[in-house]
Amino acid sequence: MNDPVYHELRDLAARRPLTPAEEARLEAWLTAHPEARADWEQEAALDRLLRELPPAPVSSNFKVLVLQALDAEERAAARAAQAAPWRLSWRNIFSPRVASVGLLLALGVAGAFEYRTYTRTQLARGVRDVSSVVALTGPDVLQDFEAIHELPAAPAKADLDLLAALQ
Amino acid sequence: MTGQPDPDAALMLRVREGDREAFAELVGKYQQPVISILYRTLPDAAEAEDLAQHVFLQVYKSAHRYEVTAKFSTWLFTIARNLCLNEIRRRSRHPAQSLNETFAADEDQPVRQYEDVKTHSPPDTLLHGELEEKISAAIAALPENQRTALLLCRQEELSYEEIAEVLGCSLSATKSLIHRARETLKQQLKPYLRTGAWR
Repeated sequence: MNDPVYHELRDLAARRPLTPAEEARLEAWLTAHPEARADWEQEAALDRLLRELPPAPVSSNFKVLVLQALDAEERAAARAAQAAPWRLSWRNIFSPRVASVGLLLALGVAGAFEYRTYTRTQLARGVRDVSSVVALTGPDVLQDFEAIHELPAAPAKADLDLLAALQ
Repeated sequence: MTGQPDPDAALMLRVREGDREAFAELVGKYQQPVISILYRTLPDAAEAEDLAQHVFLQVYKSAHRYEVTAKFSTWLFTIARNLCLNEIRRRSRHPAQSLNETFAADEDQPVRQYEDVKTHSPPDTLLHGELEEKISAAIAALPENQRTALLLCRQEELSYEEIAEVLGCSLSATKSLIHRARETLKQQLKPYLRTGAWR
C-alpha cells in the first residue's frame, strides 16, 4: 500500500486517535480503495491494543524520591570534599586549571628528561674528542722512567750553583 | 525544532541555575513517559523506576551542558535511552548483578508507594492481564532500536525528526524501524487483532 494519503493517515493513527475530519477522509479513501480495508483494520486494531496497554506503574512518591536522591548525592559529594579536599573528582581532573597544571608538570618532566639526555650526550662527545686528540705515547718514553722517578722533587744545590754560574 | 518556544527549555534554564522547583516540575511532567519506555525494556516496575531516577539525576547534573537549541524532551529521551543501553550492556556482562548494586541505592530512601489503579471486574482483569502480558512480551522481544522507535512514536509531542535524533539515525531509517516493529507486532498478535479481544 503505497498511497501517500494512506501513509499519512496511518502515521497519524499510529500516534494519536484520528480527528472526525481525518476519520471522514479515511472513510472516503477506503470507499475508493476497498482492497485496503482489511489492512487498515489490522493497523487500527494494533493501534487500539497499543493505546489501551496500561501505562507502567509509577509510585506516587516518585518525584519525592528523585529529589531525595538528589539531596543525598549532593550531601555525599560535600562530605567527600570535606573529608578529602585534595581528592580529585573526574570533573576536577578535566577542569581547565587542573589541566593546565598537569600540562606544565608534563612539560617540566619532559624538559628535565631532555636536559639529562643532552648533558649525557655532551659528556660522551667530550670524552670521545679528548681520546681522539691525546693519543697514547709510545713505550720508549718510559725507557728512563725509573731513573727520572728517583730524582729528587726539588732541584739539587749543585744544579742551582751551575745555573747561577752560567747566568 | 519548531519556531514555538519550548516551555520545558525555559524550565531547564532555571534548573541550570539550580532551581529545584523547576526540576521537580520537569520530573512530574516526564516521569510517566520515561518510566513507561524503560519499563518495556526492563519489565520490572522497581528497576524501571530506579533507572528513571538516575535518568532525572543525570538531567540535573548535566543541566550545565543543556543547549536551548535542543528540545528538552529529545534531550531527555536521549539520556534515558543511553542509560538504558548501558544497563542492557551491563546486564549482558554481569547477569546476576541487580540495578541497586550498580547504583548503590541509598538505604535511607523511603519505600515506593504505588496506587492501585485497576478498576476492572475479575473476569475483565484476567482477560486484560493475559492480553497485557502478550503485548508486553511481544514489545519486549523487539530489537532495542525498533522498540524504542515504536514507544517514542506514542509520545505525541515528539516529531519523527525528533525520534530520529534520539535514535541517532535518519528520518527514513526511523520510519522503517517503526514500520518493521509494527509488522512484527501484527504477526505476533494476529489472533488478538482478529478478535479485537481487548475491548
